[in-house]
Amino acid sequence: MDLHKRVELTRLTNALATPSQLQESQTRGLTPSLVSSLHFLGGSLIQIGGAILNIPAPAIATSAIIFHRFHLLAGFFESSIRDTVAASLYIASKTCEIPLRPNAILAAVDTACEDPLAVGGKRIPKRKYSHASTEVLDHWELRILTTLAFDMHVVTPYTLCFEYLVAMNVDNERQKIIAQRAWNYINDTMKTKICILHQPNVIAVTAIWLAAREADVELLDGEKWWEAFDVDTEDMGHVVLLLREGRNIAIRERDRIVSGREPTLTIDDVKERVLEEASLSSW
Amino acid sequence: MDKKRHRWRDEEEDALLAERRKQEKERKKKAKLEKKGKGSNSEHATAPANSTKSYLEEKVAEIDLTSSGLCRFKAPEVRSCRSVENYERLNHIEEGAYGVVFRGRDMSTGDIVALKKLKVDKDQHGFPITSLREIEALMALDHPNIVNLKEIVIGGALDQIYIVMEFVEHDLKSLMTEMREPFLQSEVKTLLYQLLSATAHMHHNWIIHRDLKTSNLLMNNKGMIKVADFGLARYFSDPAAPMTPLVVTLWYRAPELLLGTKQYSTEVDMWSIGCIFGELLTNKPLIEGSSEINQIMKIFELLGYPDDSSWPGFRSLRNAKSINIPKDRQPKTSLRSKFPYMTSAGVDLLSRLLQFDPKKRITAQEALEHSYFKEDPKPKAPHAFPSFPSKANEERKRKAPSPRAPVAAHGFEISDSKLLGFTDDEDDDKPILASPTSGLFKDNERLGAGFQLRLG
Repeated sequence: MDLHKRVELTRLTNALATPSQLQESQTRGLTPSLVSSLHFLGGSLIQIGGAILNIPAPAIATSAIIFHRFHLLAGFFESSIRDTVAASLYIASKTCEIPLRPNAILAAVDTACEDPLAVGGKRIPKRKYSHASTEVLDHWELRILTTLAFDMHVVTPYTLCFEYLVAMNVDNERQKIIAQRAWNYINDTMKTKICILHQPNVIAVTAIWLAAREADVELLDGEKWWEAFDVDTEDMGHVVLLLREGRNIAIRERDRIVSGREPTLTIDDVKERVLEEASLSSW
Repeated sequence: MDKKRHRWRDEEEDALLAERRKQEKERKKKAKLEKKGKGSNSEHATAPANSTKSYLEEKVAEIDLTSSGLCRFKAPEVRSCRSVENYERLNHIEEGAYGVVFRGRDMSTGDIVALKKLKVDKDQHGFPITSLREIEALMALDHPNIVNLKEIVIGGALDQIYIVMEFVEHDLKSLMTEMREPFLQSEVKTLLYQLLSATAHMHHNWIIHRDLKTSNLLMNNKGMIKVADFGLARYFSDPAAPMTPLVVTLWYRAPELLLGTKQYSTEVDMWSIGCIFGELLTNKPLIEGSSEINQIMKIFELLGYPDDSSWPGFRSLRNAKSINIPKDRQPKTSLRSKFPYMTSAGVDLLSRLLQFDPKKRITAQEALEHSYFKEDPKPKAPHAFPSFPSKANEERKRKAPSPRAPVAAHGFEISDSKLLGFTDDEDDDKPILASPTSGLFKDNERLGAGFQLRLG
């Protein structure tokens, strides 16, 4: 019986980044803020690409987590994020049992790259074909799988979020209001490193907390309900902080694109950004 | 006054809470110290080269300890594959549909392992989904009767991927073809019980195997069965999501699959176990059909025809219309006469495993508690099993004739030319991005000719 319990617990947890892995990922010539920007761009591309492919949010989140984990270990100088975004979607479509054709994924990512932060507001015509080759897709799929030791086990916070709301006996009407907002917050965490730094229960709880505060709903008469889900305020605070950082990055990247600069999507773009930031800091 | 008392009460509670946390902390510290002692011992015994990792692990444990009294899920860390060069190649074991299997030795621990080289077919849709499922299932399952996946390692080129598993001497199918007499009743009980307990564990963890058969059951020289080959395994959900009915090797395929249902669940594994049970008793596959129609007719010959009371709703299944069931035939099973020497408890268990209606079929957990395992002859202790010379250990195994699992709709199909005779990937074109091969398992090394036999 003990054996079963252990397995069930691991089914609720995600592999997380270690402190030294985080440090290393930031010393490869990249500033912490640039690393966060690249994670953000990738997460954003995955969300747009996933929406074009019409796959459910948990599958999109799964690809995002795979993407963030890979770049945590591999950095950003070996691969263009548009390649790894496509490969992450490809892997998640397999592990989530949503069969997608490689060409459909490549075309969706191409479309997403036209406007990676969805700033334009205008509808970009969906591409049906891509010039990118499936061999490149296969290559990065294998690179991601081997870099992550084939551990594709990913738990997303979405179901937990609903289960927690049900467990707290939130009535239907308020549940609807909170769930929708919490859902959006969870989507936001997938564009940041939050999902490789915190367990899904922490993310679900923080999203509910933020949503309830925003909707001005008091849960469980002001009790410390998050402790029932094994989350403390310190972790929640960290998630909120990272979400705010994510929002700032979104503004910064949006401004860049609005001012006419190219989004940072390839290795060469990243190199350019490094030089650009270096010259800025020397000012 | 009221306010004051309120505050006081809080403080009391706080003090209690703090006390409780302190105790908890101490308990955890103690447990950790014990674990650390154990951990460092095994660390030294198994992997002396890996000291940086244990340092990290301690760091993570430290963080757990200093935080509050809440339950912390110990998180595994994100990590990469090791190289196949950590293993010494010993000999070639067999070539299955999914890849070549070698026997090897972990150079740091000396453990003997089986290395299964995965076939990455680049014409198909990237990395095979079947292999992804197998790896995910094996990583999630930890049970003495399920083959233990140690890790995945990579060779010099990107497409050289090896699953490292515990080495098990035999597979049950080849073992049985070489036995003159079938297993004793007491031995059958032990084997069946182990198979059921492994299956109960899989089902408990929401995994269906979908290809249980004797050639996928490995057996070591200590009488332990290990369920292997999770290439068709899948997570299932409740209520069931539609899945392809093209699973399970024909002779072991449940009637609802033969009739084309897409909404099935763990019961398909239980039917296969029924077929395996019969095979263990007689040393001969229980129902050897030559086609899907022939298979279902043979099932009816053995178990009688189903009717609306024994299997409500079966007529609405997709393929049911193409089967003629004579109206005057009474449902009648001939299991009793087929196994004249078995006790009635044994026949009862077998007939419950081979129930037409999936809803009435016995579950793995229920089967484990069946009286068949409690009556005489009692299950034989695994270590009392006779040991057999292992082909895998010493020489190339002759593959016992056994039908293959269906391959359609699972990602890739293997052309006949690849199944005939052995060709390593040598002749195939390399993917353009792969680096030149290097390392222990060189592609240009012909199998069977180059290896050295090392015993012990």
